[in-house]
Amino acid sequence: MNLQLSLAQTLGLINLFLVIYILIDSFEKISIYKEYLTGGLFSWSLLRKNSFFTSRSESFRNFIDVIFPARPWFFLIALRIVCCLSLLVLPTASPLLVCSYAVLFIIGSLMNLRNLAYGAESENRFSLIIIGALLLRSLVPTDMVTLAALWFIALQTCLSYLTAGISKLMNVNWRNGNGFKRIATSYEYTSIKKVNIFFEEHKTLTRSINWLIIVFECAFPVVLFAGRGVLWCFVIGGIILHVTIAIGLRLGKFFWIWVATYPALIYITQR
Amino acid sequence: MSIWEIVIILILIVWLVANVCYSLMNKRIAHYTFRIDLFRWLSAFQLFSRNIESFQLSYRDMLADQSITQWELVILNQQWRSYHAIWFPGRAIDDCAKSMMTDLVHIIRKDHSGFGRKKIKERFIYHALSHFLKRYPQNEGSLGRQFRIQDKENNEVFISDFYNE
Repeated sequence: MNLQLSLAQTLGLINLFLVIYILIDSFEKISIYKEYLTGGLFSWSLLRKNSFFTSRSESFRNFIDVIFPARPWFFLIALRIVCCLSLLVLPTASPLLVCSYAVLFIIGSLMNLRNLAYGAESENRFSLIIIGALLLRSLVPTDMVTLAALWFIALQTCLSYLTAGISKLMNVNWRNGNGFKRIATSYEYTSIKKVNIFFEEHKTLTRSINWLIIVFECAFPVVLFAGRGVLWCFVIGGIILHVTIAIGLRLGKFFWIWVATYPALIYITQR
Repeated sequence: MSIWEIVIILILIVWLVANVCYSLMNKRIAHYTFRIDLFRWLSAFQLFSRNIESFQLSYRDMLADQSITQWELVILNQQWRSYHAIWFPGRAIDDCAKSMMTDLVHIIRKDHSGFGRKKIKERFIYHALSHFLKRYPQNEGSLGRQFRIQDKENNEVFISDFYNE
């Protein structure tokens, strides 16, 4: 494949995937707004009882008590939607772009803080890496900084796959070839009975996929050096992996945010 | 290269190196970074690498005449739908409840006495789980609710007292 991406196309594609992720995530949160009201699982009246918050200074607690209750929180979510849409319409050199990225970064960070009791969402954590890099790039939008930001995003992607691959290698179940089986045959994770039964019956295939995932994740950083053929194999492999995760495990947001980094990988390696 | 370019590139390098360190020494330094890294800017993505242990949550009520109802199983797996690949807001709630159960079991296994550094009943997770169960209907005049967590083989891992919040 000989697809070439210009710098503008690369940044445009990263922004597009990022915007889709933020829109889905924000509207999902709005659709379960009742959980943020008193009595809900994400209500501030409940979350603020977590010892992480109660052990903080009074001024800190006063500050979060102002921004984390449902009404101000949904104002911030709405602001997040507006800012992410602005990424699609603002020109790349617009100073307003800095404000949009800054707001997205701050709200994303606050989301992690607010949800601390249950654990910050992985997708949101990863989105902050991309938004942070683009924010820094928009502050000084020179060629050098843009390239550094794209390298940063590409290296963080490689690091995420490598970490996942190595931690699977450290896990005895994955080393025995049963890690994937546990996910694919457990209704808790893959809530499709036919799929559970299929992988239960096809043990060789299940083990092969188990090792394919480990090899794919551990070898992912190779894309940075191994040439275009290898890059496209990994990009297509990554898309298949994330589509499968989205359909099987219903983790659709992972797809948008991880695939958002692929244009950076493509741009870096084509240079 | 301008000074601002150098500053930005340095920030990116520091962030990347910090993330590499966090990924390499996650278990050792997470305890410290937990309190410092308020916004979770550091991440180690060990996607699906940990051993999966699934638990079942059920509850029962004590009625006004002090009789006790049957255990009701809480279903935390919504039926699979093709659109869930793109749109699945319910996952946040299911995942949260599962995460709370896993955390509570982790605490219990670490401290069988229940009188460790912090009584289990005083834990946020215990409180959040009982709060979560409020969404399931309770008979009027009920004296309290009790919940239990079972492992995959239906062994009881934890049973709460009757509580009435």
